[in-house]
Order: sequence, then structure tokens, then C-alpha cells
Amino acid sequence: MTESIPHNGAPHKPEIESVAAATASQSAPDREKQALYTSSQWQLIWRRFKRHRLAQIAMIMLAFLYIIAACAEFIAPYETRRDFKGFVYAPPAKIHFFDEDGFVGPFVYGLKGGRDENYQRIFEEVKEEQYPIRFFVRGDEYKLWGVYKTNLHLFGVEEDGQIFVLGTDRLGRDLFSRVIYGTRISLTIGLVGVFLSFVLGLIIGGVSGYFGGTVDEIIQRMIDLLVSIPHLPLWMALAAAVPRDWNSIQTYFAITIVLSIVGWAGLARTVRGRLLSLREEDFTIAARVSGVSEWRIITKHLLPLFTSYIVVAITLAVPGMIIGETSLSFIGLGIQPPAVSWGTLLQDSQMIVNVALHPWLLIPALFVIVTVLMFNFLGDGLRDAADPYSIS
Amino acid sequence: MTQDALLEIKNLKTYFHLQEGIVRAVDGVSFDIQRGQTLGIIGESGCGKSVTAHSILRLVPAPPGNIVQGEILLHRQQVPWRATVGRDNGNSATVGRDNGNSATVGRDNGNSASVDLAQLDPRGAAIRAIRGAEISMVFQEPMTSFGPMHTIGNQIIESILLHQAGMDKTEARELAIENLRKVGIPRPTEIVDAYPHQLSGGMRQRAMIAMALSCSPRLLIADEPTTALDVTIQAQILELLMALQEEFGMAMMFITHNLGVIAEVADEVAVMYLGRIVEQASVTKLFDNPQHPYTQGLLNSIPHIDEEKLPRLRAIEGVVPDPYEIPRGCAFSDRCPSFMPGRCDQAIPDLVAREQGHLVRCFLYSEAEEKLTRI
Amino acid sequence: MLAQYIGRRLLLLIPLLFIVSIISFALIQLPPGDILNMEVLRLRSAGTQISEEQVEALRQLYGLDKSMPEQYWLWLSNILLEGNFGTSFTYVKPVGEILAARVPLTAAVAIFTALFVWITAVPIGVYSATHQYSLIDYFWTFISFIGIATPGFLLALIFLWVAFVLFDISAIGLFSQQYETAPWSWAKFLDMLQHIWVPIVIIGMAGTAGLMRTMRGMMLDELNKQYVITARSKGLTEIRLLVKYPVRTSLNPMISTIGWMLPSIISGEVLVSMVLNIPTTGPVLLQALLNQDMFLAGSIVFILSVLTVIGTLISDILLVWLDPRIRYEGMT
Repeated sequence: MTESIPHNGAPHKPEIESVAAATASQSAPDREKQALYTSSQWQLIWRRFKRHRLAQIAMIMLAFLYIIAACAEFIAPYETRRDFKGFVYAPPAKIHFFDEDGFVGPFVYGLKGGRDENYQRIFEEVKEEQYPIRFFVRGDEYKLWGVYKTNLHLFGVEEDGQIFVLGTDRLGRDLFSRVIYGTRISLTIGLVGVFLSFVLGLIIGGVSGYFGGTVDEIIQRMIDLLVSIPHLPLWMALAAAVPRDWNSIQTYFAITIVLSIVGWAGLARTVRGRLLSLREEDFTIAARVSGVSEWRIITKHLLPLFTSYIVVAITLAVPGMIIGETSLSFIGLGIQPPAVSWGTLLQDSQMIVNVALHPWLLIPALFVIVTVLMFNFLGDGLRDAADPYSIS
Repeated sequence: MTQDALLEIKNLKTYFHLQEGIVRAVDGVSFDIQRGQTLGIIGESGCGKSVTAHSILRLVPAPPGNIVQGEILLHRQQVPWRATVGRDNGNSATVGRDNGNSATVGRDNGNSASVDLAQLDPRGAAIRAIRGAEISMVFQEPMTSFGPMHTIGNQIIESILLHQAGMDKTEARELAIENLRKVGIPRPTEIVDAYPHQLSGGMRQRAMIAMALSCSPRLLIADEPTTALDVTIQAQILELLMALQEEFGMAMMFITHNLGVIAEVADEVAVMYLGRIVEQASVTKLFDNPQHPYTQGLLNSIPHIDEEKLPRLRAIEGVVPDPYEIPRGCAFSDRCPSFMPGRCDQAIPDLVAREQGHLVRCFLYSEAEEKLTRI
Repeated sequence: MLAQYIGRRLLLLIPLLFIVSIISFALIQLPPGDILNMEVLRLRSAGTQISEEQVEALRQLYGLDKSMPEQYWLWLSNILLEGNFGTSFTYVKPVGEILAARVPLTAAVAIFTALFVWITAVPIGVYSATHQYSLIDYFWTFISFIGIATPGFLLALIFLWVAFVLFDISAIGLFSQQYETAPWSWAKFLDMLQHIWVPIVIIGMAGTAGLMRTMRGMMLDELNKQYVITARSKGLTEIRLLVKYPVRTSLNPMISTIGWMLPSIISGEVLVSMVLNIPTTGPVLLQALLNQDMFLAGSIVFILSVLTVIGTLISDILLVWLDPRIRYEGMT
């Protein structure tokens, strides 16, 4: 038996089994511990996941982002193509709470555009025009989820004023609204792309496993190859072949397919590796030796672990897809205007002079970074939680 | 206490400060190791025997581990004491001995200079000069005890060059081969260039012993050296250790949970339970006349082939408690068959001499006997 | 043993490169419509007179009248036998000529980036592991999360913006103006070194971040192993035992990470070079794709893939050479 020598950070606790036995035999068992030893695997995963503070925050933030994506029309004050003449490259609005007379609640001043002596665009606040920010205001008309026709928006100002929370772009379009709408494509393309990759991987993996032998060998080598050559050039070449006259929805799916055609291999290899090692785990063999039926081994022991590993692999594959879409759209090979994604919004910042004068054009980048970060945190948390041998 | 103690541990306390609380892995342990003798330490997993060993060489990871109290005195004699070592380069024996003396505690103990290892900086030069040279260690896991990326020879030679100044690489290599031969490794000239993964567990443990002995230490700490080995290999390794002990004339601290092993190698035995010594005696006294209920329990739980009527094996009730929830009073009280309510769960008994050289920590004896608490 | 292994890997390389070439050729054929027709249309709209005979002559010249497999074979044999990658329609120059100066630069940026990633990630990982949960460990953890989450081209954009605002530098490039068109010289090389660190750091950021985490994790695993304690019990100094044992052991799995690092470095390089205006293959690839100049684009994809596959092979051989455990057994 190994003696327990607590080490830096990872104290071994071989006593844990003995504690289990002890609690079972004790007359007044600790309720909490009792619950721990009898809980199902999903309860255990959830329990471990709850200790992962960052992963929990990430999950909440991602849920929030997806809600935004679902209700983009309602949350964005303006429609994506609404261009405000005379408000080209307006800076992010300053939201005030106090005027000369004291507190009046949130409001913005009217903006007046002009040019300075260097002929640079400048905007000045017009103190005489106050536009209080109201919730549930009427604005651009839209059909929510293609069903409800309405013109209600989460917030906004009266019709003759404007509120540009994150400023405007080179055509005077509200960047905040465009970022909100962009959330829809940028966030879903990751999920749809990973889903497609997964289906592709399942089909190809199934074929590979069904035929075995040479077919399996060839497919494995293909996967190795696809994983080991750079993705972006391939993505670019494939995306460049998407006809330019396709409409937004066609392009969206084309780009998704492009992303998954290259991306499925990595996912397939991770999942395959996990499954193979799981099949050889001691507990599987132990179950088999104890006469447990194959069906029960698969449904009771393997499937829950498979599922959790797959969920983890998928979560960690989403950021790659999101970055792929952003990259392609950034260089103009991905989503095509008038559709908006965070990548297409960043196109405007290709000219560095633009960024220098109008730094708010880089704000979509922040959304990309935060989203990818959150997916990584969530994936890490899920991975730790799904690992049946993890400490704690 | 005899005058010829090589290592003297007094009231050693090594605690681990973890998030869940303080683990008192070693909580007031005292014992001596005599020159040329073997002290066996026995106990279940988590009783603190390994931490005691690690404390001596200051290998306890800090944080979270920490020696909070106690002395670990290494007594050197003025004239470096050596048994006749079958070795040509006699000059090597004294090299590396003097480095540690800077930290010598000003204690007059006959004519030997002493150093309190507990006071040394665990990363300092003084303890490093002692490690591997005066005191060396053999570990439980032969599979992982050698670094996988270097040859066995490289790792032995490294140790030799580190402690024996004046020896060049060829000489060190010769010595390494010589030691590999001594521990019974066949074809030592080839094995010296082998990588650890190429050797079997038993061979690796032999190589490990060769490395530990490469600087002729005064004390060898063997931390469950045979636990991970097959029974036949176990016996070989034990015999080897005892033969080498005689040859090198070193003292040994032998840690195990195996009573059979301890009966074979030890002169003196200390039984540990949850960080404390509960009984200590010579090996014959302990096996013939165990006093502490825990020792009795341990002895009852192993089968005796020679007994005419095979009694039913009796296991000790319950399990070792959670280190964060040690029972009040005597740590063994919740499993003890002779549990006395109102006494055993109230105070911790002292370690008292039941007779000359037989110490027990139990209320069954502490009242009647004359209080002869150590320390 | 090692030679045998290298030989086997080189043999395996052949079908691999074969598949890469098929993929690249497929990409060339991918755009809808006949490449030549589009080119003719373009030339005619630009006012150039081209007769039907000339078009037919061009068609034969490019082998477009032949079947797909024949065209592929023609394309591949031209590359293999004559180093002829075809002709770029937009540059009206052989593809090889356009790429001759750019491929070495791409390779140089990739190799330097890989070195940078290693040189920074390993010590940081070791430090973080040996000082787990210290302030500096948390700092690097934070940096690594940001590095993993931020694609290179966004970093490049942010860098450019900061450089412009603070130092009024509007373009980074790889050379100062006076060297841009100058032939290669020592001075030009030194000038390049002064510029090249920017793309290297930016492209390497993601890799460094990932590798730093890997190294930290590996080290944490190794630090608790018995052999580290053994080494300590021999009286080695902390730094010496760290370097000789756990660091050395952790480095091996790290070498195998080159397998995923190189593709991502090459991918990152394409966009970062575009943003920073660095004359590697990346910007040309984008222009070629936008103009549907497919021989050029396909060749670049082919070359980049081959570079990556060879780089990975070298890293695998390096791994086997460095790890005695693999060197002596199970080299599969």
C-alpha cells in the first residue's frame, strides 16, 4: 500500500475508500457523505462542475450571449442596414445621468458632425438636445423569429435622436446593433459547424469501423493527414470556391460545410482516442469479468462516459470554428454582406488608419475573444468534471 | 539511551497544512538508531512512517509539510567511523563528511560532533552534503525511482561525483560497476549503460540499493523497499540488504507494513499508529510479548503456519480514521478491544517503559507502572 | 534502429504527399467554370484581342483539353520533374518565380516562431509549475488564457493600432524601405531580424500560451514522481535536479506537440502576414484566391502542406532520437 505523503497541490488521499467503508458502518452516518457515495454519475459530474467557478461563470455568460443571438432584433435598437446620413464614424455615445440641473436618469445628447481644421471628422454634443434612454421603445419594424411582426425594441431614444452605444461604421450604421446581429451568425456557426463535423465523423468513423482492415487504415491515415496540415489555407481555398451570387443563407451553410469538412478530423481523432482507451479501462474489464452483459456495460458504464467525453470534445471544438469563421469573414472569403458576423464587422479595421482614427471598430474583436475564452473555460470545467478519477 | 546512537530523534512533529485542515502526520515521535543496527518501523498506511523517514532527510515538501517541532540529531564521531569496506580507494570514505559541520549544534556528546537535521535549510548545502553521502534512502517504487531519461550508470555516477571530490568520471564509473556487482546484478559492465525501463523491478531495486550505497552511508533508510516486489524477489532483496549492512557496517531504518519482513531484518521495532509510536521494543520482545492492543491486533491478523490448532484470524475492527477526524484521546480508542470509556477517549496516554527497553503507549499499563516517560 | 525508423517514416511520407497533391489539385479545379474562359473574358474586357485559335492554343498549352487524371498527372509531373508549378494568370509569371522569394520567408517565419514558442513556453511552464498558485503563476495563467483565445490576426490588429497611436508607425513589414527591393545582403538580413520579431511574437502567442499550459501540467505530474525525490535524496541542488530529471522528461511529450503547433503556426502566419504586410506566401494566397488564380493558390496550399508535413516528420524523428524509451523499443 502506498503511504500517504501529501504533496504540493495534489494531496493523495488513499484514505478515501476507508472513509467510505467507515461511514457505511457507522451508526450515525454523515448525511452529505452518504449522499456522495450513492449519487449517480451525472450527479457526480454536476457536483464537480459546480466547484468550477470559472466554468460556471462561462456557462452563464454563454447562455446570455445565445439569448442575445436569439432576440437580436429586439435587443438591437436599429436594423443592421439602417444608415444614418451625417453620422459616419460617430464615436460611441456618452451616456449621461446628470445635466446642469442634476440627476435626470440616463440620456444622450444630440450629435452634430463637422470637420476640424485638418479636415478630420469630429462630432460635438449638442447640449440643447437631450434624448432620454427609454426601455421598450418603438423603432424599426421587424418580424421576431419570423412570426411576430413588431417594432418594439429593448431600449432606444425618440425617433429624432440617435443612440450609438458602440459608435457607427463607415456608412453610418450603428455598430452595437450590428454586433448584436452578428452574434447570431458567429455563435451559431460554431455550434452548427461542430454538429456537422460530429455527424461527418460519426458516418466516416462508422464506415471505418464497419469495414475495418484496409478501409479503416486508410481512413485513419486520412484523419492523421487532415489534422497535420494547416487548416486556414484549406478553408480559404474552399471558401473561395463558394459562388459569390449565393444568398446569405446559402453562403452561411456553405461556410459551415467548409469549416466542418476540414475540421471533423480533429474532433473524430479526439473522440476515437477517448473511446478506445475507455474500452480498455479496468472497470470495463472488471464488469465483463463479473458477468455483466455487454449491453449493460455499454449503457451503464460506457455510454455515460462516452457522452460526457463527447460533450467535452464538442465544447472545446467550438472556439476553433468560431475563429475560423471570423478569420474567413475578416478577409472577405466568408460570410458576405449584407449578412453580418463579427468577422465581417472586423473587415473595416483592415485599414489600420481606420482603426487608429476610429478605434471602436475593433470592439467586435472583444466579443470574439470573450466568447472563445468562455468556451475554453466551460470546456475545461466540463473536462475536469467528466473525469471520473479527478480529485475533489 | 545508549551512547552509541547514530541518529537520535526527539519529539519530532511534522505537520501538513492543507486546505481541509492540519494533518499531524508525525506527532511527537522519538527514537534512536544505533550504529550498525536496524530499527524497523511498522504501521498501516498513513501512520506517518514514511513522513518520519522523509523528515530525516528533509524531503517533506514544504509547503504544505513542515517540521513544527523536535530534533533530529545525527551523531558523527570525531574519527570517521568506518567498518572495513572492501574497497581500494580508501580516501573516498571521508570525503564529503566535513561539509555539514557548519551547522553543528554545540552539544557535547562524548567525542562526536552532532548536527540537528531539523534545523537545516531543506534546500541548503549542509543537508545536501548529508543526503546520499551520510544518509541515503531506498524507496518503495522501483519502477519510478530512477529518472527514465538517463542510464542507471549515469544516475549512480552522478551521486558519486557529487559527494566524492577528487574522483574522476572513470573512477566513479568503476565504483558504480563495482557496486552493481555487489548488489548481485549480472553483467554489471553492460547494465551500467542500461536505461531503467530495460530492467525488471527486482533488478531496478538492486540498482537503487547500489546507488544508495555508492557513498558508503552511515545510515540507510529503506522505505518499504520490498513492498512492490514479488515474494521471491522480496526475500532476495532482504538478504542482500542484510548482507550489505554487515559489509558496509551501516545502520538501517527499515520501514514496512509487513510483520514478516520486520521480524527478519530488524533488531529493534517501533510500531506507529496515526503519527505516534504506540509500542517499541526489541524484535524478540515485541513478537513474543506484544503489549499494546494495536500491536496485538496486528500480530493476530497474520496467519501462523506452525501453530497446531489454527485459530481464526482476527482483523482489527474498523479502519484507520480520517486524518482530519482523529478521535479524542488515544487515537486507537475507537478500534480498541480494551477500550475504557472515560479514560481512553479523554487523554492521550504517555509512552512508558513496561520493562527495560519495552515502551508502550496505553492506559492499560501506564498507571501501574512507574512513569518512565521518554523526553 | 533509428535509421530504420527514419526510413520507414520517409516511405510513409510518399503516399502522404501524394494525397496532399491530390487535395491541392482538387482545389485548383474547384472554382466553377473553366479557368481559361474566365481569363479570356477578363482579357477581352480589358480590351485585349484574342482569337479563338489563340484560346485553343492556350487550352492545349495548359492541358485543359485533357481529362482530369491526365491534367493532374501533367501538373504533378511538371512539379516533380521540372519544378514547374504552372503559370499565374494574374501575374502572368510562372508560379515558381513568384513564390521563390516568399516560400523561404514563410519557412523562416515558421521556424523562428516555433523556436520562439519553445524558448519562452518551456521556462515559463517550469516556473509556473514549481511556483504553483503563486502570483506569477496566476499572471501567466491569465496571459495564456488570453493567448489561446485571441486569434493571431486580431492580436496583429491590436498591435498595429497601439503602434500607430503610440509611435505613429503605420506599417510593420519585414524590411526597412531602403532594403525592400534590394538584393539579399548581410545588412538586409540584419534589417530583417529587426522587424521579424513582431510577426514571430504575434503568431507565436497562441502556441506559447498552449505550450506553457502543457509544460506546466507535465511538470506538475513529474514533480511528484518518485525519481524526483530520489534525485533530491542524493543531494543534488534543486535547479540541477529540476533540469536533469523532470524538465528533461517533460520535454519529450512537448516535442510531439510540434505536430499540432506547426499547422497552427502556418495557419496563423497567413493572416498575420496579411495584416502586418509581410511578404510571405500568405498575402499572395489571399490575392490568388480572390482573383481565382488557382494555379498559384493551389501551389501555395500544396507547398504549405508539404512544409508542415515535413516539419512534423522532423519533430517525430527528433522525439525518437531524444527519448531512450522509444529509441530502444516499440517504435511504432
